[in-house]
Formats: sequence, structure tokens, C-alpha cells
Amino acid sequence: MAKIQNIDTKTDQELIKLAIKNPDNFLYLMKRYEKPLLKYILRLTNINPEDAEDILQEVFIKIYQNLNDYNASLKFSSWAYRITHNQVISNWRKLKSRGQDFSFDLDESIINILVDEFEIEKNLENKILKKQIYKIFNKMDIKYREVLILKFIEEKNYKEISDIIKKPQGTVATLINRAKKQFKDIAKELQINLI
Amino acid sequence: MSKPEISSKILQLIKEKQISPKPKWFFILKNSLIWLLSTLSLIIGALSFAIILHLVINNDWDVYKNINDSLIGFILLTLPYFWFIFLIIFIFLGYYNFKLTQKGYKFPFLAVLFINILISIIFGTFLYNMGIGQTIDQTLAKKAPLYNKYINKREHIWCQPEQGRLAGIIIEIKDENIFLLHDITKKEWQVIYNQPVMFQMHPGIKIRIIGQQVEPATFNAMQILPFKPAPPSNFQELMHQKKINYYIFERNIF
Repeated sequence: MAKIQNIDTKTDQELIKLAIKNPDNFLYLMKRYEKPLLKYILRLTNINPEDAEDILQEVFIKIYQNLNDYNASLKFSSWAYRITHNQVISNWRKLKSRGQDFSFDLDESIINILVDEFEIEKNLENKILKKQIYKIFNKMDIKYREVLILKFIEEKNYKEISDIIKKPQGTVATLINRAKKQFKDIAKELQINLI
Repeated sequence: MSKPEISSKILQLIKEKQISPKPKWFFILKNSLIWLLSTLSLIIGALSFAIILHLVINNDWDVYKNINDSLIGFILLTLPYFWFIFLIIFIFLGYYNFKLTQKGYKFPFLAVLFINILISIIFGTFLYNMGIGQTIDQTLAKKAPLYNKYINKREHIWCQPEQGRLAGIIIEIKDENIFLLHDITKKEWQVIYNQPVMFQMHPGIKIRIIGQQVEPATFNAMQILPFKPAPPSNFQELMHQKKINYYIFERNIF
């Protein structure tokens, strides 16, 4: 495989063109999105990493097969997340039965965002906070969990979320509001302290 | 979390299974088909609206009391339900296909639905003015045997002599008070009338009569009205088959 120079400076669109010409070049695109997409699958489904990798494999094969359908008016990351979202949703029943308790990584900055957004008591240790957030996520509907993950953990904006889940931006806003409400309701139900 | 070789493994799998990107023309064709289906749904919806408009405008509003005691009862009896259902189905199919287009998901449900309905109404009104609604209704009445029985029941409403309603085509004017008529089942009737008629009667025209059946094939007319809208001109054929003599009778009441 002939190595391409300055691969990090190439845009996603340039990598797509290269991948269409030669499948070897698809490796660069996969490497760029492997980690974020795998994290996204794990955050969304709470399945074990091996199962998540199987999903990721199907996602990348779909992305590769549909490279000619990619429309440059959309961010490639949104398109890749959309295909991942579709793959997770279409396998949701199977994945749900394999689910375990949430344990995806939440760094301090994300915890702080969630604490502010959901008015969770700040005096708790991060470890306890994480446990509580996982508990709540575990009980949430996938459609609500997904928008919260995209907005607060993946830090996507409304347009990107709209492009990923293929819903109008107004619907995204409604979903986020409902998701917040469900988050708070479940927190109450589980007697988790909110401010 | 992720094993470093996962991308390499996927690439190997792609090569082993000889997976390749689907060609560009495949997606162009797919997207064009979705647009085509969306447009077709919209056109069929507009055609349904044109037929609804034709049937509602040409309904028997002038004599509804002879068909049903109340206006609401008459509306419920004569509403073109089939075409309304057809219109709703195709408005939703248009919406569904539009949502499948590349950027269709960006638009809210109500906005797409509203625009779909608006296009069906505007384009449907245009088609109605072009006479397309009438043409489709009459073509179906002629070519589809069950259409008049189950979908456009107007002719059946006017084929109830025992209820005092009769409609058909005049085949011969006997004299100033009697003419012969073929009802929609091709049964021949002798119609007796003494009341003034507000239009020119002659063989070949389709009429509605309100009156009373006096004998198995004799009907006493109290009110004679033209059958709105004008019938398809297949009367020449009928006249030729029956070898009926043309006897044009004009009765001018003015």
C-alpha cells in the first residue's frame, strides 16, 4: 500500500475520494473515526466492547459501501454518526438483551456539564456522581438517552444532532427537553439528590 | 478500549469479501425514484381533489330535500368518501416519500403536510377547471363496472322510482306530455309530465325527474331537471343500436 503524505492535513472529503479510488485508503478514514464511533456505540447501548466492535465493523462496511452517497453539504462526522445511529437502532432489540449496567467513561468536564444542566448536587464525589448518572441513563428510553449523549457528552450542536437522527431541529429541541424531564423524573424516582 | 487493529481487520474483511462502494448512478437512480414517487403522490392527490370538487359542485343541492330530510343527512349520504380517503392516502404518501429525500428530514411534519395539502388543493382546483375531474369520474363510470355502484352512488340515488326519483337519457319525445326514457339500468320508461320545463328537452339529454311511479314502467313527473354535469356523448351509439327515430322536441315556456 502506497503511503499518502500528510494524511492528518487531508480533509474527510479528500479521504473519501481517495477511499473510492483505492480501498486501502479507507483505512485512514476508519482510523480517524474508529475511537469516537466506538465510544458512541458504547455510550448508547451499554454492551460489552467486543459486541460494540462488531457493530462498528458493520458501520464501517456500510460507510464504505455508501461512500458515493455521501453529500458534502453534510459534515462527514454527522453522516458517520447517522449510520452508526441507524445500525444501533436496527439492532436495538438484540443489543438490549446483551446490555449491562452503564459504565462508559465520563471525564470531569462532562460531569460538570451534566451537574450544571441537571442541577445535581455538587458536593458529591465524582465516583458517586458517575454512578448516579449511569443509574439514570440505564433507566432512560434510548431516544432520550441518545439526544442527551449527543448534546452533552458528544457535544454536538442542534444542527448536527438533527443530521444524525434525521429529525428537524425543532423536534431535536423538544426531544432534549423531554429527555431532561425524564432524567429528572428518574432521578427523583431513584431518590438521587437534585438541587 | 479499542484494539488498535480493528480498522485493519475491517479493511482485510472488505478485501476478502470483495466489498466495493455502490456506484454513484445507483444513488442517483434511488434518489430520483423517491422524488418521482413523491411527485406522483402529489399529482394523484391533486387529481382526487379535482374529482371531489367536481362531485361536490355537481351534487344535487337544488333538490336535496327530495333525497334526504336534512341537509346534514344529505351531505353524509352523498360525500365522496372514496376520493377523500384516496386524497388522504396520497397526501400521506407524498409526505412519506418527501421525508425519504436527502433533505426531507429537515422539515417539520406539519409544514410538509400543510404544503402537501395546499399543493393538492391549488393543483386540484386547476385540474377541476380544466375538466379533468369530470373526465376521470365519467370515464370510471363508463369503464369500471363497480364504480357507480360503490364509489359514485349518485346514479343509484336517482334510480329509485319507488322513492320518487328517476334519471336517465331521453330517447324519444312522443308528444307534448309524454316522452320515453332509458334509466341507468337501460330500462325503458314512459314519462308523463304536465309541469313547465325550464330547459330545452330533446332526445339524447340526461335528466333527473322527481315524481311518482304509477305503473311498472310509467312515471309521473312533477319536476324535470337537467342531470349536472352533461353526460358523455355516447348517446349516438345508443340511438344507432336502438334504431330510434330522432324527433327533436323543443318546449319553450317563455
